[in-house]
Amino acid sequence: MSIWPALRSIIADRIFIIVAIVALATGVVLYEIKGSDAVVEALRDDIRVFIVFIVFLPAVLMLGSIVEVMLPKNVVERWLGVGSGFKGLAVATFAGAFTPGGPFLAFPMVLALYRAGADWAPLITYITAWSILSMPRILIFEIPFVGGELASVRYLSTLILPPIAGLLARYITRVYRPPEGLRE
Amino acid sequence: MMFYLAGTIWVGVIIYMIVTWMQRPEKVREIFRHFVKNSRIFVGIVPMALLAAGFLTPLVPGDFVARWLGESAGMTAIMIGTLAGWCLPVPPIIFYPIVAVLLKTGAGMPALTSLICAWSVFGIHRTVLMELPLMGRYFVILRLLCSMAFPPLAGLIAIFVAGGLGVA
Repeated sequence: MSIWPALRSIIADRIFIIVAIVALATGVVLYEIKGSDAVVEALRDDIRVFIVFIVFLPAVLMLGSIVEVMLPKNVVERWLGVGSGFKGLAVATFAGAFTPGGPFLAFPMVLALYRAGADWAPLITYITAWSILSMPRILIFEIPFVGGELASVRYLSTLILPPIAGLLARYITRVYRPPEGLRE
Repeated sequence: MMFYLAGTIWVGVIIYMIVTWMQRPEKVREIFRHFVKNSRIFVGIVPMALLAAGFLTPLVPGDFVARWLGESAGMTAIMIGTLAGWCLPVPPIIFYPIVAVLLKTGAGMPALTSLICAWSVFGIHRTVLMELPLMGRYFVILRLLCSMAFPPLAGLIAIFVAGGLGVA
């Protein structure tokens, strides 16, 4: 892969353009309002965070790539088949937190299990854990951007929520029964 | 703490890669291909997002953020965080710089916990694009019903967690 096409695909990205324009605009506004000292200070702060990114990101992306390649696709399905007891919900939470890749991996897997008649509780627990506790997202974005303190407070505060969602789902599906033939 | 975590991951990754390379070199090549594909978006967007967040921080009025999202705003801050999280259908690369700016300008841990929790539970782009067409209405409504109370709840728990860890 030569450098130029790769570079061009990075620069032509829609989000990149938006973020670059915002960066430029805020830079100009900061310079106009608070002068060049404030801009230099902001850049100095940025360099510190940037070092964290350089140390952190390659390792985490490498880890993610290893999991993507080496994790057999059916292992999550096995994890979600443990059932909807205490152990089942704990395993579903764990599986959700460690599923690599974006929604394009998580949802099709849940869909297959859903069609196959898996319990509601572990399915809801899994998707909730995947959306709140997703380890790849926390390592790649949350810790480098907001720091270890907020990330750990946030993580510990939300750790017990996915199993609660599963228990609520079990209760709700008993009271308000899903329509017949929903899973076909 | 962050550098210890990064160091641990680095050591683990390197050892694993060496062991895999000795046993199955073709897997190592595949892992590197995934790595290149995954890291592409981080080359351009992350530095730009950092720049934007850095420039934005001194411009945000600190006393305003502290007043509405600070520790002392209590339940109000948690509810504002929750609402803001529901109303921000943006990808993580835009969301987390915003959180970073708020943290630096005086927002409290409980409000930001609610904000992150609400944003990740609701994720409207994800819900509309993937979940609704694949799983159907019943599943989506059930999931949202089950996690509706989570963002404020998480904020309340965060008050105690932050106190317990001594980082409030």
